[in-house]
Amino acid sequence: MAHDAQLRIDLDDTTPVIRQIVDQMRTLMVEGHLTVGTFLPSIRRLALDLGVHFATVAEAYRELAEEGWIQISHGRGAVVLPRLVPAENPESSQQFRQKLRNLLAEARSQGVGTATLVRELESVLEGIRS
Amino acid sequence: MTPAWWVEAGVVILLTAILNWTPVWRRRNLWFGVTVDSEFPESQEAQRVLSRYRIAVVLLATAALALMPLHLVLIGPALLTIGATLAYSWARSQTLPFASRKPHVRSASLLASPESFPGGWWFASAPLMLVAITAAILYTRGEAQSWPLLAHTLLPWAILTGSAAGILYGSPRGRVASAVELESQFRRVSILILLLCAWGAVLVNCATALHWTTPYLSLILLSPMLYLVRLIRIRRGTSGGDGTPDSCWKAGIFYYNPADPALFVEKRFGVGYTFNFANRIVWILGALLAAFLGLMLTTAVIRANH
Repeated sequence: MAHDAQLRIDLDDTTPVIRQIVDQMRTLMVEGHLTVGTFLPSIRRLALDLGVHFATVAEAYRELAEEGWIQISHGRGAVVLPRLVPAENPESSQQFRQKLRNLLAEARSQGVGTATLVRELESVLEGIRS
Repeated sequence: MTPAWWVEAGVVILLTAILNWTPVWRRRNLWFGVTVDSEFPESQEAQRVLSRYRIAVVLLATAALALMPLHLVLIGPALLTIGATLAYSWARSQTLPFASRKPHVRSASLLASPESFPGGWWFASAPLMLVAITAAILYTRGEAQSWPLLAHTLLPWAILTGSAAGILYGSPRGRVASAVELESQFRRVSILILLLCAWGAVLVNCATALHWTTPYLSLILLSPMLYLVRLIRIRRGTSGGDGTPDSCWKAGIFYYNPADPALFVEKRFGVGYTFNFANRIVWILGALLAAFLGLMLTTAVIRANH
Protein backbone atom coordinates (compact mmCIF):
# COMPACT_ATOMS: atom_id res chain seq x y z
CA MET A 1 0.00 0.00 0.00
CA ALA A 2 1.90 3.03 -1.35
CA HIS A 3 0.38 5.60 0.98
CA ASP A 4 1.79 3.81 4.03
CA ALA A 5 5.43 3.92 2.87
CA GLN A 6 6.32 6.93 4.99
CA LEU A 7 9.28 7.32 7.30
CA ARG A 8 8.62 9.32 10.47
CA ILE A 9 11.65 10.52 12.40
CA ASP A 10 11.24 11.96 15.89
CA LEU A 11 14.19 14.26 16.53
CA ASP A 12 13.34 14.46 20.24
CA ASP A 13 13.44 10.67 20.64
CA THR A 14 16.45 9.21 22.46
CA THR A 15 16.66 6.55 19.74
CA PRO A 16 19.31 7.60 17.22
CA VAL A 17 17.96 8.73 13.85
CA ILE A 18 19.83 5.98 12.02
CA ARG A 19 18.16 3.34 14.19
CA GLN A 20 14.74 4.90 13.54
CA ILE A 21 15.35 4.81 9.78
CA VAL A 22 16.58 1.22 9.75
CA ASP A 23 13.81 -0.08 12.03
CA GLN A 24 11.02 1.66 10.12
CA MET A 25 12.26 0.61 6.70
CA ARG A 26 12.65 -2.98 7.88
CA THR A 27 9.10 -2.86 9.24
CA LEU A 28 7.75 -1.49 5.97
CA MET A 29 9.45 -4.28 4.02
CA VAL A 30 8.26 -7.01 6.38
CA GLU A 31 4.69 -5.69 6.25
CA GLY A 32 4.81 -5.57 2.46
CA HIS A 33 4.50 -1.79 2.01
CA LEU A 34 7.84 -1.84 0.20
CA THR A 35 7.72 -4.71 -2.25
CA VAL A 36 10.58 -6.49 -3.99
CA GLY A 37 11.91 -4.40 -6.87
CA THR A 38 10.78 -1.08 -5.42
CA PHE A 39 13.30 1.68 -5.96
CA LEU A 40 13.97 3.68 -2.81
CA PRO A 41 14.95 7.37 -2.89
CA SER A 42 18.63 8.15 -3.32
CA ILE A 43 20.65 8.79 -0.17
CA ARG A 44 20.89 12.48 -1.05
CA ARG A 45 17.15 12.86 -1.67
CA LEU A 46 16.11 11.02 1.52
CA ALA A 47 18.62 13.03 3.60
CA LEU A 48 17.21 16.26 2.12
CA ASP A 49 13.62 15.26 2.79
CA LEU A 50 14.32 14.27 6.40
CA GLY A 51 16.79 17.09 7.08
CA VAL A 52 19.51 14.77 8.36
CA HIS A 53 23.13 14.33 7.33
CA PHE A 54 23.88 12.32 4.18
CA ALA A 55 26.12 10.00 6.23
CA THR A 56 23.19 9.09 8.50
CA VAL A 57 21.06 7.87 5.61
CA ALA A 58 24.07 6.24 3.94
CA GLU A 59 24.81 4.27 7.11
CA ALA A 60 21.15 3.21 7.40
CA TYR A 61 21.14 1.99 3.79
CA ARG A 62 24.44 0.16 4.37
CA GLU A 63 23.04 -1.62 7.41
CA LEU A 64 19.93 -2.71 5.51
CA ALA A 65 22.11 -3.87 2.62
CA GLU A 66 24.22 -5.96 5.01
CA GLU A 67 21.04 -7.57 6.35
CA GLY A 68 20.13 -8.43 2.76
CA TRP A 69 17.08 -6.22 2.47
CA ILE A 70 18.24 -3.81 -0.24
CA GLN A 71 20.92 -3.38 -2.86
CA ILE A 72 22.51 0.05 -3.14
CA SER A 73 23.22 1.23 -6.68
CA HIS A 74 25.24 4.40 -7.12
CA GLY A 75 23.27 7.20 -8.72
CA ARG A 76 19.95 5.33 -8.54
CA GLY A 77 19.35 4.99 -4.82
CA ALA A 78 18.58 1.48 -3.67
CA VAL A 79 16.27 -1.37 -4.66
CA VAL A 80 14.39 -3.75 -2.38
CA LEU A 81 15.63 -7.32 -2.77
CA PRO A 82 13.89 -10.65 -2.24
CA ARG A 83 15.26 -11.81 1.08
CA LEU A 84 15.49 -15.36 2.32
CA VAL A 85 14.17 -15.56 5.85
CA PRO A 86 16.72 -17.31 8.07
CA ALA A 87 15.60 -20.35 10.06
CA GLU A 88 14.22 -19.64 13.52
CA ASN A 89 16.75 -20.22 16.30
CA PRO A 90 16.47 -20.15 20.11
CA GLU A 91 18.90 -17.22 20.49
CA SER A 92 17.01 -14.83 18.20
CA SER A 93 13.71 -15.92 19.78
CA GLN A 94 15.13 -15.15 23.25
CA GLN A 95 16.38 -11.72 22.10
CA PHE A 96 13.01 -10.92 20.57
CA ARG A 97 11.13 -12.05 23.71
CA GLN A 98 13.26 -9.70 25.86
CA LYS A 99 12.72 -6.76 23.48
CA LEU A 100 9.00 -7.44 23.46
CA ARG A 101 8.89 -7.57 27.28
CA ASN A 102 10.73 -4.23 27.45
CA LEU A 103 8.41 -2.64 24.90
CA LEU A 104 5.26 -3.88 26.60
CA ALA A 105 6.52 -2.72 30.00
CA GLU A 106 7.19 0.74 28.57
CA ALA A 107 3.72 0.85 27.01
CA ARG A 108 2.05 -0.24 30.27
CA SER A 109 4.02 2.34 32.26
CA GLN A 110 2.66 5.03 29.92
CA GLY A 111 -0.91 3.92 30.55
CA VAL A 112 -1.62 1.75 27.51
CA GLY A 113 -4.23 -0.84 28.54
CA THR A 114 -3.80 -4.60 28.15
CA ALA A 115 -6.76 -4.84 25.79
CA THR A 116 -5.26 -2.14 23.60
CA LEU A 117 -1.91 -3.94 23.56
CA VAL A 118 -3.53 -7.21 22.51
CA ARG A 119 -5.55 -5.46 19.81
CA GLU A 120 -2.51 -3.65 18.41
CA LEU A 121 -0.39 -6.81 18.39
CA GLU A 122 -3.12 -8.71 16.55
CA SER A 123 -3.46 -5.90 14.03
CA VAL A 124 0.27 -5.80 13.35
CA LEU A 125 0.45 -9.59 12.96
CA GLU A 126 -2.48 -9.48 10.58
CA GLY A 127 -0.65 -6.89 8.49
CA ILE A 128 2.45 -9.06 8.29
CA ARG A 129 0.51 -12.17 7.32
CA SER A 130 -1.48 -10.44 4.53
CA MET B 1 9.19 67.44 -5.90
CA THR B 2 11.15 65.88 -8.74
CA PRO B 3 9.98 62.77 -10.65
CA ALA B 4 12.69 60.81 -8.84
CA TRP B 5 11.14 61.85 -5.53
CA TRP B 6 7.75 60.55 -6.61
CA VAL B 7 9.27 57.27 -7.70
CA GLU B 8 11.08 56.88 -4.40
CA ALA B 9 7.94 57.84 -2.47
CA GLY B 10 6.01 55.23 -4.45
CA VAL B 11 8.63 52.62 -3.54
CA VAL B 12 8.30 53.51 0.15
CA ILE B 13 4.50 53.24 0.02
CA LEU B 14 4.60 49.93 -1.86
CA LEU B 15 7.21 48.56 0.53
CA THR B 16 5.09 49.63 3.50
CA ALA B 17 2.09 47.75 2.12
CA ILE B 18 4.18 44.61 1.51
CA LEU B 19 5.81 44.74 4.95
CA ASN B 20 2.40 45.27 6.52
CA TRP B 21 0.92 42.11 4.97
CA THR B 22 3.96 39.84 4.88
CA PRO B 23 3.54 38.46 8.44
CA VAL B 24 0.12 37.03 7.49
CA TRP B 25 1.37 35.36 4.29
CA ARG B 26 2.38 32.39 6.36
CA ARG B 27 1.64 28.77 7.13
CA ARG B 28 -1.09 28.35 9.71
CA ASN B 29 1.37 27.11 12.34
CA LEU B 30 3.93 29.88 11.89
CA TRP B 31 3.78 33.29 13.55
CA PHE B 32 6.62 35.72 13.02
CA GLY B 33 8.92 32.85 12.15
CA VAL B 34 8.04 30.73 15.20
CA THR B 35 6.29 27.35 15.07
CA VAL B 36 3.12 27.73 17.14
CA ASP B 37 -0.09 25.79 17.77
CA SER B 38 -2.71 26.48 15.12
CA GLU B 39 -5.01 28.42 17.47
CA PHE B 40 -2.30 30.83 18.67
CA PRO B 41 -2.49 33.36 15.75
CA GLU B 42 -6.11 34.16 16.75
CA SER B 43 -5.14 34.81 20.38
CA GLN B 44 -4.86 38.24 22.02
CA GLU B 45 -1.12 37.92 22.50
CA ALA B 46 -0.56 37.18 18.81
CA GLN B 47 -2.77 40.01 17.61
CA ARG B 48 -1.06 42.44 20.01
CA VAL B 49 2.35 41.50 18.58
CA LEU B 50 1.02 41.96 15.03
CA SER B 51 -0.49 45.38 15.86
CA ARG B 52 2.74 46.65 17.39
CA TYR B 53 4.73 45.41 14.41
CA ARG B 54 2.36 47.19 12.00
CA ILE B 55 2.49 50.41 14.02
CA ALA B 56 6.28 50.26 13.84
CA VAL B 57 6.15 49.81 10.05
CA VAL B 58 3.82 52.80 9.60
CA LEU B 59 5.99 55.01 11.84
CA LEU B 60 9.10 53.97 9.90
CA ALA B 61 7.37 54.73 6.60
CA THR B 62 6.40 58.19 7.89
CA ALA B 63 10.00 58.84 8.97
CA ALA B 64 11.25 57.57 5.61
CA LEU B 65 9.01 59.99 3.69
CA ALA B 66 10.00 62.85 6.03
CA LEU B 67 13.71 62.22 5.33
CA MET B 68 13.38 62.19 1.57
CA PRO B 69 13.70 65.99 1.10
CA LEU B 70 17.30 65.54 2.30
CA HIS B 71 17.94 64.06 -1.19
CA LEU B 72 20.04 61.19 0.12
CA VAL B 73 19.66 58.41 -2.41
CA LEU B 74 17.41 55.57 -1.23
CA ILE B 75 17.51 56.75 2.40
CA GLY B 76 13.75 56.17 2.68
CA PRO B 77 13.61 52.56 1.46
CA ALA B 78 16.80 51.69 3.36
CA LEU B 79 15.44 53.09 6.65
CA LEU B 80 12.14 51.28 6.14
CA THR B 81 13.75 47.94 5.28
CA ILE B 82 16.26 47.94 8.11
CA GLY B 83 13.72 49.22 10.63
CA ALA B 84 11.09 46.66 9.59
CA THR B 85 13.66 43.87 9.91
CA LEU B 86 14.36 44.95 13.50
CA ALA B 87 10.62 45.23 14.19
CA TYR B 88 10.10 41.70 12.83
CA SER B 89 12.93 40.42 14.97
CA TRP B 90 11.36 42.02 18.03
CA ALA B 91 7.96 40.50 17.17
CA ARG B 92 9.61 37.10 16.88
CA SER B 93 11.20 37.45 20.30
CA GLN B 94 7.75 38.24 21.75
CA THR B 95 6.32 35.10 20.09
CA LEU B 96 9.05 32.65 21.12
CA PRO B 97 7.60 32.04 24.64
CA PHE B 98 4.47 30.70 22.89
CA ALA B 99 6.36 28.28 20.62
CA SER B 100 4.70 24.91 20.11
CA ARG B 101 5.79 22.12 22.46
CA LYS B 102 4.79 19.37 20.06
CA PRO B 103 7.43 16.76 19.20
CA HIS B 104 9.63 17.50 16.23
CA VAL B 105 8.58 14.74 13.86
CA ARG B 106 9.70 14.76 10.26
CA SER B 107 8.37 12.51 7.57
CA ALA B 108 9.47 11.50 4.11
CA SER B 109 7.81 9.38 1.48
CA LEU B 110 9.76 6.40 0.19
CA LEU B 111 7.60 6.06 -2.90
CA ALA B 112 7.25 9.63 -4.18
CA SER B 113 7.86 9.94 -7.91
CA PRO B 114 10.99 11.79 -9.03
CA GLU B 115 10.32 15.44 -9.83
CA SER B 116 11.31 17.39 -12.92
CA PHE B 117 10.90 20.88 -14.34
CA PRO B 118 7.38 21.77 -15.51
CA GLY B 119 7.61 21.18 -19.23
CA GLY B 120 10.86 19.28 -18.72
CA TRP B 121 14.44 20.39 -19.32
CA TRP B 122 13.36 21.60 -22.76
CA PHE B 123 11.20 24.38 -21.28
CA ALA B 124 13.99 25.48 -18.95
CA SER B 125 16.73 25.56 -21.58
CA ALA B 126 14.74 26.73 -24.63
CA PRO B 127 15.50 30.41 -23.89
CA LEU B 128 19.12 29.63 -24.78
CA MET B 129 17.99 28.54 -28.24
CA LEU B 130 16.07 31.77 -28.50
CA VAL B 131 19.23 33.73 -27.72
CA ALA B 132 21.15 31.71 -30.33
CA ILE B 133 18.47 32.33 -32.98
CA THR B 134 18.45 36.06 -32.16
CA ALA B 135 22.24 36.18 -32.44
CA ALA B 136 22.01 34.49 -35.84
CA ILE B 137 19.40 36.98 -37.07
CA LEU B 138 21.53 39.90 -35.87
CA TYR B 139 24.54 38.44 -37.66
CA THR B 140 22.64 38.09 -40.94
CA ARG B 141 21.53 41.69 -40.56
CA GLY B 142 25.08 42.84 -39.98
CA GLU B 143 24.25 43.87 -36.39
CA ALA B 144 26.69 41.59 -34.58
CA GLN B 145 27.68 44.58 -32.40
CA SER B 146 24.41 43.94 -30.51
CA TRP B 147 25.67 40.56 -29.30
CA PRO B 148 26.92 41.99 -25.95
CA LEU B 149 23.30 42.99 -25.19
CA LEU B 150 22.28 39.37 -25.73
CA ALA B 151 25.14 38.15 -23.55
CA HIS B 152 23.76 40.22 -20.66
CA THR B 153 20.56 38.18 -20.94
CA LEU B 154 22.40 35.02 -20.00
CA LEU B 155 23.14 36.13 -16.44
CA PRO B 156 19.50 36.60 -15.33
CA TRP B 157 18.55 33.40 -17.19
CA ALA B 158 21.30 31.50 -15.39
CA ILE B 159 20.38 32.91 -11.98
CA LEU B 160 16.64 32.28 -12.37
CA THR B 161 16.93 28.83 -13.95
CA GLY B 162 19.69 27.89 -11.53
CA SER B 163 17.49 28.90 -8.62
CA ALA B 164 14.65 26.79 -10.02
CA ALA B 165 17.04 23.83 -10.29
CA GLY B 166 18.27 24.53 -6.77
CA ILE B 167 14.73 24.30 -5.42
CA LEU B 168 13.99 21.17 -7.45
CA TYR B 169 17.09 19.26 -6.41
CA GLY B 170 18.23 21.02 -3.26
CA SER B 171 15.16 21.55 -1.11
CA PRO B 172 13.04 19.09 0.90
CA ARG B 173 9.82 17.81 -0.66
CA GLY B 174 7.81 18.16 2.53
CA ARG B 175 8.97 17.29 6.03
CA VAL B 176 5.59 17.50 7.74
CA ALA B 177 3.16 14.73 6.81
CA SER B 178 0.03 16.90 7.04
CA ALA B 179 1.41 19.46 4.59
CA VAL B 180 3.02 17.29 1.90
CA GLU B 181 0.45 17.84 -0.87
CA LEU B 182 0.30 21.63 -0.45
CA GLU B 183 4.09 21.82 -0.14
CA SER B 184 4.38 19.94 -3.39
CA GLN B 185 2.09 22.49 -5.06
CA PHE B 186 4.10 25.33 -3.51
CA ARG B 187 7.33 23.91 -4.96
CA ARG B 188 5.86 23.45 -8.44
CA VAL B 189 4.42 26.97 -8.55
CA SER B 190 7.65 28.51 -7.19
CA ILE B 191 9.70 26.72 -9.84
CA LEU B 192 7.23 27.75 -12.54
CA ILE B 193 7.41 31.43 -11.49
CA LEU B 194 11.21 31.37 -11.73
CA LEU B 195 11.18 29.73 -15.16
CA LEU B 196 8.55 32.19 -16.44
CA CYS B 197 10.70 35.09 -15.20
CA ALA B 198 13.70 33.58 -17.02
CA TRP B 199 11.64 33.30 -20.20
CA GLY B 200 10.38 36.85 -19.78
CA ALA B 201 13.85 38.31 -19.31
CA VAL B 202 15.16 36.53 -22.41
CA LEU B 203 12.14 37.44 -24.57
CA VAL B 204 12.31 41.13 -23.63
CA ASN B 205 16.07 41.30 -24.26
CA CYS B 206 15.88 39.46 -27.57
CA ALA B 207 12.99 41.64 -28.76
CA THR B 208 14.92 44.77 -27.75
CA ALA B 209 18.03 43.57 -29.61
CA LEU B 210 15.91 42.94 -32.71
CA HIS B 211 14.19 46.32 -32.31
CA TRP B 212 10.81 44.63 -31.95
CA THR B 213 9.23 47.02 -29.53
CA THR B 214 5.61 46.65 -28.54
CA PRO B 215 3.73 47.81 -25.43
CA TYR B 216 2.62 44.21 -24.87
CA LEU B 217 6.19 43.07 -24.33
CA SER B 218 6.28 44.22 -20.70
CA LEU B 219 3.12 42.18 -20.03
CA ILE B 220 5.22 39.04 -20.41
CA LEU B 221 6.93 39.90 -17.15
CA LEU B 222 3.55 40.29 -15.42
CA SER B 223 2.45 36.68 -15.94
CA PRO B 224 4.58 35.35 -13.04
CA MET B 225 2.77 37.84 -10.77
CA LEU B 226 -0.49 35.95 -11.31
CA TYR B 227 1.14 32.81 -9.96
CA LEU B 228 2.46 34.78 -7.00
CA VAL B 229 -1.13 35.25 -5.80
CA ARG B 230 -1.63 31.49 -6.05
CA LEU B 231 1.57 30.93 -4.11
CA ILE B 232 0.31 33.12 -1.26
CA ARG B 233 -3.00 31.23 -1.19
CA ILE B 234 -1.25 27.86 -1.02
CA ARG B 235 0.96 29.14 1.76
CA ARG B 236 -1.95 30.40 3.85
CA GLY B 237 -3.78 27.11 3.42
CA THR B 238 -0.84 24.99 4.62
CA SER B 239 -0.99 23.72 8.16
CA GLY B 240 1.83 22.30 10.25
CA GLY B 241 5.36 23.60 10.64
CA ASP B 242 7.96 23.48 7.90
CA GLY B 243 10.21 20.86 9.49
CA THR B 244 13.03 23.28 10.31
CA PRO B 245 14.05 24.10 13.91
CA ASP B 246 13.01 27.53 15.20
CA SER B 247 16.46 28.00 16.72
CA CYS B 248 18.09 27.87 13.28
CA TRP B 249 16.17 30.92 12.04
CA LYS B 250 18.33 33.94 12.91
CA ALA B 251 16.12 36.97 13.55
CA GLY B 252 13.38 34.84 12.00
CA ILE B 253 14.72 35.65 8.52
CA PHE B 254 18.05 33.91 7.87
CA TYR B 255 18.23 30.11 8.03
CA TYR B 256 21.51 28.67 9.29
CA ASN B 257 21.58 24.92 10.02
CA PRO B 258 24.82 22.98 9.46
CA ALA B 259 22.99 19.71 10.18
CA ASP B 260 20.54 20.26 7.32
CA PRO B 261 21.80 19.29 3.84
CA ALA B 262 19.17 21.44 2.11
CA LEU B 263 20.37 24.25 -0.14
CA PHE B 264 16.97 26.01 -0.15
CA VAL B 265 14.18 25.99 2.43
CA GLU B 266 10.83 27.72 2.48
CA LYS B 267 10.96 31.28 3.77
CA ARG B 268 9.35 32.13 7.06
CA PHE B 269 9.22 35.87 6.27
CA GLY B 270 7.70 36.54 2.88
CA VAL B 271 6.81 33.99 0.23
CA GLY B 272 9.22 31.75 -1.61
CA TYR B 273 12.51 30.12 -0.73
CA THR B 274 15.66 31.21 1.01
CA PHE B 275 19.15 29.77 1.33
CA ASN B 276 20.47 27.56 4.09
CA PHE B 277 23.44 29.83 4.81
CA ALA B 278 25.26 26.99 6.54
CA ASN B 279 25.56 25.16 3.23
CA ARG B 280 28.99 25.75 1.65
CA ILE B 281 27.55 25.67 -1.85
CA VAL B 282 25.65 28.90 -1.10
CA TRP B 283 28.90 30.73 -0.34
CA ILE B 284 30.69 29.23 -3.33
CA LEU B 285 27.90 30.32 -5.68
CA GLY B 286 27.82 33.74 -4.04
CA ALA B 287 31.57 34.14 -4.52
CA LEU B 288 31.31 33.08 -8.17
CA LEU B 289 28.50 35.55 -8.78
CA ALA B 290 30.40 38.35 -7.06
CA ALA B 291 33.51 37.54 -9.12
CA PHE B 292 31.50 37.54 -12.35
CA LEU B 293 29.79 40.83 -11.54
CA GLY B 294 33.14 42.34 -10.55
CA LEU B 295 34.60 41.24 -13.86
CA MET B 296 31.70 42.74 -15.81
CA LEU B 297 31.98 46.00 -13.88
CA THR B 298 35.74 46.19 -14.43
CA THR B 299 35.30 45.49 -18.15
CA ALA B 300 32.67 48.22 -18.41
CA VAL B 301 34.87 50.74 -16.60
CA ILE B 302 37.87 49.93 -18.81
CA ARG B 303 35.74 50.28 -21.97
CA ALA B 304 34.32 53.60 -20.73
CA ASN B 305 37.82 54.96 -20.07
CA HIS B 306 39.00 53.99 -23.51
